[in-house]
Amino acid sequence: MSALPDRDRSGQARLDEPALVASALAGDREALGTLVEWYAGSVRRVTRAILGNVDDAEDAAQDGVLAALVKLDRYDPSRPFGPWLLRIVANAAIDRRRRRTVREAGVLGDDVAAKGPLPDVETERLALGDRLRAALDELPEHYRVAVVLFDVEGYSHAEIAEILGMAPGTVRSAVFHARRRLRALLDDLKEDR
Amino acid sequence: MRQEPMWSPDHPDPALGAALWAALSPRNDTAAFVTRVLDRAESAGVGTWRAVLGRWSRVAIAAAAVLAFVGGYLAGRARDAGTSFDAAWVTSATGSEAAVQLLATHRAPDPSALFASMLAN
Repeated sequence: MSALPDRDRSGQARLDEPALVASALAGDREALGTLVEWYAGSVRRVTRAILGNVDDAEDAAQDGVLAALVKLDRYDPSRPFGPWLLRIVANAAIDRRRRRTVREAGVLGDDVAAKGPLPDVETERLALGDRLRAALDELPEHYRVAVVLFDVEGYSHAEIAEILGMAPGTVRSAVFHARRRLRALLDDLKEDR
Repeated sequence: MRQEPMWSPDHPDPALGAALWAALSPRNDTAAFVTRVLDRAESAGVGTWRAVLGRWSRVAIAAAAVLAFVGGYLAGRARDAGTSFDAAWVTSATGSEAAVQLLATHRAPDPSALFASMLAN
């Protein structure tokens, strides 16, 4: 299985991206479609990492890509397209998560505390994917996005810093801490088998 | 003894990356996602002839503003060049330097020049 079906592992942007963007700007729907298709996987994984919930992530991915396409003429073709797009998408997802948090805080109350943590038996039955997603959800937001962009999407610390608007050193630290927690979970699962 | 994998903070971890990829990747419906985004983009006017025309009209307005500015500047310079020709003609025709200040300028005449001209004649 390739972790990066739609992007080179080295993090290099596709060479023909600027031409594709120019065609899309000139009204070529096929070029627009190709551009969206290339980044659909990355965009949806990043929004899923930020939001957790599949439906919210899907809506945020669509909103984010659409926001980027609307201002496509502001994209600088001398720079890689991926970080530019993912910055807009990540911001859309983060905004949605904040709105959701405010909404949930208003709606939920004692209900959350009454529900409590999942019983161990139930937790054991969760598949690896569910447990990883649950573990991701426990991490601070920028840890989650940083580790997904670095280990899944193959972006460099500098590119992730550009996407998240933070210092490369902070990104490096976020990836380190996120990895440590997620690896511990993966190791536990291996030992259980 | 279990061997710990070698991993570097500067390189992606393939095992963790693959596990996260599997956990986060949506079901295989990329085509449907692309179609939904393109439909919404079309409704928003992305890539339509109106958007293309709108972008070009912004460029055209900027270009027209620059042309108007440059044209105004050049016209001003041409008018100044015309004034110096008139000044030479006035000097030769009247034989008076003071007359130039009265006849070959766009500014209001200086009273002292007017007085000097009257004295000269």
